[in-house]
Amino acid sequence: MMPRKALILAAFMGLPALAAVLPAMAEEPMISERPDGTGDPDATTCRKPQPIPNSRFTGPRVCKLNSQWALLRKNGQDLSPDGREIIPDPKGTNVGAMNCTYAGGGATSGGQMICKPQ
Amino acid sequence: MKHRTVFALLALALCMFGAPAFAQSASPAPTESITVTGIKEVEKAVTDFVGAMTVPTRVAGKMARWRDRICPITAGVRPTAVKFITQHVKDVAAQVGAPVDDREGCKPNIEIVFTTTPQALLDTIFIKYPELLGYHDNSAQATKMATVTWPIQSWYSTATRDLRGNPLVDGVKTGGVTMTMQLPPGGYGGPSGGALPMLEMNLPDARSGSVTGSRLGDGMSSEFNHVVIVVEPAKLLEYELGTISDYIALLALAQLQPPEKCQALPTMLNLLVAGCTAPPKALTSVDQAYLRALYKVTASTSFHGQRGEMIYQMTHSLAPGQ
Repeated sequence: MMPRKALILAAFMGLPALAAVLPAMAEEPMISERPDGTGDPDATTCRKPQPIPNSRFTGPRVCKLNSQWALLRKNGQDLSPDGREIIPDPKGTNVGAMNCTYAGGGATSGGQMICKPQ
Repeated sequence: MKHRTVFALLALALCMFGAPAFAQSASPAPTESITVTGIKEVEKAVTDFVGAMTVPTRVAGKMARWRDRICPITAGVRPTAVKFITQHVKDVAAQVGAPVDDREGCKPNIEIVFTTTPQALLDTIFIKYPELLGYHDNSAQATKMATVTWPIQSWYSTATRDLRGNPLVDGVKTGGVTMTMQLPPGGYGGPSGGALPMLEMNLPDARSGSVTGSRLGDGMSSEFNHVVIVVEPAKLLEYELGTISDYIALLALAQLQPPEKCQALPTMLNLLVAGCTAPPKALTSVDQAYLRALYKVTASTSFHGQRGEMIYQMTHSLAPGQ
């Protein structure tokens, strides 16, 4: 939806408007029902609020880096609905198993970790 | 009093300058030449040691040490060992000139954790408290830092204090810095007339701080904010608690990692390095001299200057009278 809006804006107002919109899009975190850590490891993905057991309330939106979600899935873990505790993954330990590899990088940059589902 | 001072100075001058001359004239040189060679060898060994051991912090590029009073806490061992290790770290700190918080219930800033699953602990830190790993630019660096490779390993969260004494934890997002600059007038590549345009630059990861602008030292200093030390006792069965406590104290007070190869100077850091012959099982005079020197160096001077001060302090501590 946003790209279309951006293109329409760009058509009417010229490219500077597009340039103004794109950085804002880049900063917006991804939202997912169940983040699995795929994608840019340094990008943030937020999990939608989940119902808290034995309560009428839902927990907060939990935002972590993809690398953190990937490690949770690799270890067969998840974050509790309130986002405070690491708990066993209720959907099983091998659901989100990842193949993580490093690409590029030097002495100072440290390279890039790329995770993909197995 | 004045005479006594003059006498002491004269005596010192005689020792430094007169004695070698006397030695040269009274007897052939062997003793003196051994002494001179000795101090040079000590200085060379100390220079190598300091060069291998000291690392600058990523943000200020200085040696980090405790400025806040240390408050260690130990977990994962029996209560008597908890008490012993915690007190031992405080004792060593006091001996080398590091500030110690002796209050009951002080806020812990050194966490010593004994665990049979160190990697699981580090995974938790990576997910929930990545700032405790220390400064990192990206996830790849954080992942590497969160990998356990030694049976006793330490992680240092550092802070930078600027010229005005404002501390800022290294790696914490600050919201960046926005700078507004006036473009130069015509003749210097800018517009030729009218109001000078303003250029606004937003540096999202930049930090601002007050500095001196001097080459000798910019006024910034590095300090520890938090230290985590993780111990895997199953891999340390051959060592006594005293040895482990000494090693922990060393890691708690200075940003050190076990060296890649055995150090020529006798240091406890050789303990966990494979292939070192009879590594010391307690803090040595070298380790103590290193820590004392670290807590004496000028915090705000350049890293190069700090190393020089460390080498001077250690050399004169290990070769007294020279």
